[in-house]
Amino acid sequence: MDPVLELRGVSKHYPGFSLADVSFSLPRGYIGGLIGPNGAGKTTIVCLLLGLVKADAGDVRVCGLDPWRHEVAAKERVGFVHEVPNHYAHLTIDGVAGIVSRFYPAWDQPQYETLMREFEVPRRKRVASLSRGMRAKAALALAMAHRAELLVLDEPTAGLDPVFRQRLLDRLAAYVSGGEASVLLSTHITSDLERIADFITYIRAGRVVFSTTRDEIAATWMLVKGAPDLLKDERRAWFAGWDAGAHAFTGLTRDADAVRRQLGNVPLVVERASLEDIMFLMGRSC
Amino acid sequence: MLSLIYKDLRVGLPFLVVLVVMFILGSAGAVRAPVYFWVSLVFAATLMLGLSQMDWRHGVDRFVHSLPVSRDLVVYARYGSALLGGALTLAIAAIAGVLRGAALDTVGRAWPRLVSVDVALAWVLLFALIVALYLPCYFRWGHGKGYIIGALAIAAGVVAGGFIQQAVGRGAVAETVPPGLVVPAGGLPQGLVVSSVVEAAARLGLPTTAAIVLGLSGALLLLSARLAARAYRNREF
Repeated sequence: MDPVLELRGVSKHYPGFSLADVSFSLPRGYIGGLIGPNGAGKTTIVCLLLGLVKADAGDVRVCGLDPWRHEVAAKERVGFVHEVPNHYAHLTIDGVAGIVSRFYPAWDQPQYETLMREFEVPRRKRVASLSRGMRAKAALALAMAHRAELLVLDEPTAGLDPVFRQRLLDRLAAYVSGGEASVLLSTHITSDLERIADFITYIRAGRVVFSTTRDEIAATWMLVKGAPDLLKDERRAWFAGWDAGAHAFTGLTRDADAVRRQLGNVPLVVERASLEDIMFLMGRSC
Repeated sequence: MLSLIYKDLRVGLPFLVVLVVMFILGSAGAVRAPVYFWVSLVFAATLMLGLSQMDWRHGVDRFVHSLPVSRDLVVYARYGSALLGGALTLAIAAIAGVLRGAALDTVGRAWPRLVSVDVALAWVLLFALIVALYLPCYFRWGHGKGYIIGALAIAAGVVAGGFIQQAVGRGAVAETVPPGLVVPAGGLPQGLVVSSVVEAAARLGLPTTAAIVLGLSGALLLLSARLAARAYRNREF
């Protein structure tokens, strides 16, 4: 499959934080989700993809191009929404669009107007007077109006109401349906990804914990729940993460059958782990 | 690059409105001509500073650099915008001066003298110096530190100019012009650059002086832009 973005062995060091040996890719025509706790390195990855920062080591490719060395050609193919969508606050959204449109040969004005109507953004209001959600909607419309091959969305749904979030997810699914465009969605709201993402990359403390398809995650990661006294110290190593309460423990594992075999004939509940369960349990016991 | 200059123009539009208002007030006689020279120069510099401050205030670095632009283009476009702002300021200053001169019927006196070509050349050279000193600092050190270092560099330039003027014993223009040459010095602003350019125009002729001043300004700006682009090339956002 033709990757629209690819990171191979990428490292980036900052004082107090390092992104180490990050490798993952996203094939063209799919939606990828980037998840991880605060400070895990998601925004650094987004910045690497946009050529906003330079990797200390490794290879970053966007549509086959190194975004640091070929910054214009790479960014022409990318639409970006930052987690805090900042624009010149004294301009109207149409004013900002008037600026942005000049940079993209593929700018589609009718598409922009359709999106603004659909997203119900007041086009003649100044950016300063818009709510955070409205700014996010406007930023999304601006990013989607130039037929980008790759949309990179950094926490785009934060601040959006649930109704619009659903509509946006449908929009994103439609965006990639032609097979030419892809979306990378960095978010904390894992339920959004469970709805639309084809691939999930989980980052923790600057390292990739896993990067695979959503279906594989659903099929392999399981929660095992049982009485708290079953979770003895030596058994904790069986789990990728665990949480013990007064009445029950929850363990996260890729091999629920092995756990069941080793514990023997004791009452256990085994169920599929959600992305939120995975993030919570891995984060809790690290 | 034109798209970036358009962005700066669009973003800096409120400044341009202030510019026009300021010169209407100026032409109405609010200030004396030599002061007006420096005020217009400071305003052109403020226009340039204002653009970078707006980027900082609105936190748009990531937004601008997520657009398909190279770091080099961002630098060169900012030079272009600064020069455009300077040209606009100078044009409006000249119009204000001419209007003021016509209104007061003072041909050959302070205001028309101020908008003569030799003084305008001095203005261009001074503005080029300001831009050439400030923008590399801004692109090297960013909004906060760059602003302070740039301002200090300009202040150092002014102080150095004063010392040089004292060292070479250059006083008023009229005193340094050889006998036989007539230099209409009425209403001239003080300073090394102004007196040197006006004197050069009187000695060498206007076309030669214009070629020297424009060549020197261009070379300064080119060198400065190259330095700024080099400093900015590895900037991360």
